[in-house]
Amino acid sequence: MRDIIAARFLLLKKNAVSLIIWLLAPLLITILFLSTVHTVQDDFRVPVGVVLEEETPSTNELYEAMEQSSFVTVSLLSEREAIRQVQQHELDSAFVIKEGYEEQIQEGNRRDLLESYYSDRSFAYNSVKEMIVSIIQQETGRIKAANTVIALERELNGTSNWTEQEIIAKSRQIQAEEDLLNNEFRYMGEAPADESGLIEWNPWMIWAFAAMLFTIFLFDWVIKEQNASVNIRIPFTKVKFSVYMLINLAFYIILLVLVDLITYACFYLLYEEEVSLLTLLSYRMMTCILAFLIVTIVRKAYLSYILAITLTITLVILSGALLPLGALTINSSWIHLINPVSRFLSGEWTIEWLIICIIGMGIWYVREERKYA
Amino acid sequence: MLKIDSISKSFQRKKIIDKLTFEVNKGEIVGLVGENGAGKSTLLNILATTLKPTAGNIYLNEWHYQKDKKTIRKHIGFVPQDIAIWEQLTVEENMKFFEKLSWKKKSVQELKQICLDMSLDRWNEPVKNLSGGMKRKLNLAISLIHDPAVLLLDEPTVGIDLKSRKEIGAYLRKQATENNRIIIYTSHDMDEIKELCDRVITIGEDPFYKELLKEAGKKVLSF
Ligand SMILES: Nc1ncnc2c1ncn2[C@@H]1O[C@H](COP(=O)(O)OP(=O)(O)O)[C@@H](O)[C@H]1O
Ligand SMILES: [Mg+2]
Repeated sequence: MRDIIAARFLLLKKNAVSLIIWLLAPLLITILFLSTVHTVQDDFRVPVGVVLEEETPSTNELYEAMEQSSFVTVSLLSEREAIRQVQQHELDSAFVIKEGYEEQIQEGNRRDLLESYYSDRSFAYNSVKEMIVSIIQQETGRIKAANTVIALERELNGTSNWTEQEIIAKSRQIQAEEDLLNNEFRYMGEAPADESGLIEWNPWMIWAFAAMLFTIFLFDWVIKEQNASVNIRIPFTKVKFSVYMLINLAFYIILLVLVDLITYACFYLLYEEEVSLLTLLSYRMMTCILAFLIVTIVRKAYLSYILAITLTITLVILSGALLPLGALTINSSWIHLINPVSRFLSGEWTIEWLIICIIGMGIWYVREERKYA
Repeated sequence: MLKIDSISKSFQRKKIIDKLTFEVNKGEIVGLVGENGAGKSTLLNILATTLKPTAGNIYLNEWHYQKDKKTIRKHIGFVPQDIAIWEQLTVEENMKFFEKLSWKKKSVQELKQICLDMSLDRWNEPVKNLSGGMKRKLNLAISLIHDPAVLLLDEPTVGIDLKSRKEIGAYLRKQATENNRIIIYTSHDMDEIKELCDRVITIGEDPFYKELLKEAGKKVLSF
């Protein structure tokens, strides 16, 4: 076995550069893809100015709520500066939060809270306004509810004496908890599109597609060595062709698992995304054996590339990452069952695929044995 | 001693080899001649165990080809007609690669010596830069790593320059006499056959080669 691996190293040395590129491709592509998506999303953000005439908890609240939206970038300015920038089209529009905002809100008054500036080139003005209005509505609604609770309590002679602030805080807390719950329903790490319609990608999903594709690409060594002129010498060596192939397959699996551990560390550091290591291992074994079987069956490099691309696109579609099949995929459990990427992302062992692959390997082994008998 | 006892081979009812019997002793070089498609490669593949004869028996020393195939294979050096080496590796890496998979351990010095013995001295050269003659030599050197008792060569000198051909011929003669190997090889070069072979076997119906060899006073076995 050590001899076979030493022989493998002689061959690998010649292709070290391309080997390293193929090994790292899924990791690099994921990082590249995500950073591109993020820059593109940033480019599409609309610059909006905010002027705070008063600094109170309520106005800060509003400002932070705007900042969290992923479709605007907010900058805090003086009114003069805001007007100047809107005139020069550096800002899409600007909103002045008027003096007395907090007081008005407390009284449930929704008029005269805002003043706004926009130009003939402002295209996001209306939607930003809508957004602010809905934030204000939420806030005033909350205060109204609090007041109602207090009034009711007085009427019923209650003893708990909640203050308005406590009730608002409680209401926020409940909302926050529900938001967390919503996140649990994320499908395959795709955050539900937020109000701006932008998607957050799970790096492991991108990685899973790329890993499938590049593992098959990487396994063209099997094709090269199955068709190699030197195979005619195998009967006169101490190794059996099937054993030679199996040991090399194991060698590649170990190599890829090592790279996967690096990927795991990178994704954890960069995105704080984790998967179960066992799931990762089973997905990796599955892709390697599948890649091996595909290339041994098709026996031609270009066919294996076509098949690899087709398979990857199928997985992307089944996972709902390309077309809006989201609703369909979540609801049909059989698509989830046959889709190894979706199984992988939900932390399950892709045990059926693995079993099918291992049976495939068994058939391959028996046929090889017959061929060289 | 290699003993071929009445072997026949047909492909889809077409008889290529019909009841062939002969023996080869240690230290002997036997040539196989015949027109293209006569069955020379087929016979060599049968002697290399990679093809089964339709009928007949073959023995190497006391071993039977079918029953002791594994043992037999350890003692066979097969030099294929199509060059079987790694183009992307150097001469050294090719030798090392096949040494790893070989029955016999050899030191780097010993591997290098095999090449030097047939004046293949470009040890660190990638194979793709070598001339045809050099490649043929390496093709032969690899088959010798495990010190085989029987060396089977399918057109080892085809398409190469005269100097390389002479070097390979001299090397084969040395292998037969000094190391007592059995050597069977095919060639279209009649001068080479006449010069090198102790005996010649003609294959096929065409009497052309037989006549030619008889004129040269060679011992000819034909069938
Ligand atoms: N695997 C095979 N199946 C059918 N016919 C074959 C096969 N191998 C060789 N032959 C036929 O056997 C004959 C002898 O081939 P071969 O031994 O390669 O000839 P040579 O080496 O003398 O040129 C040819 O007619 C060839 O077509
Ligand atoms: Mg031939």
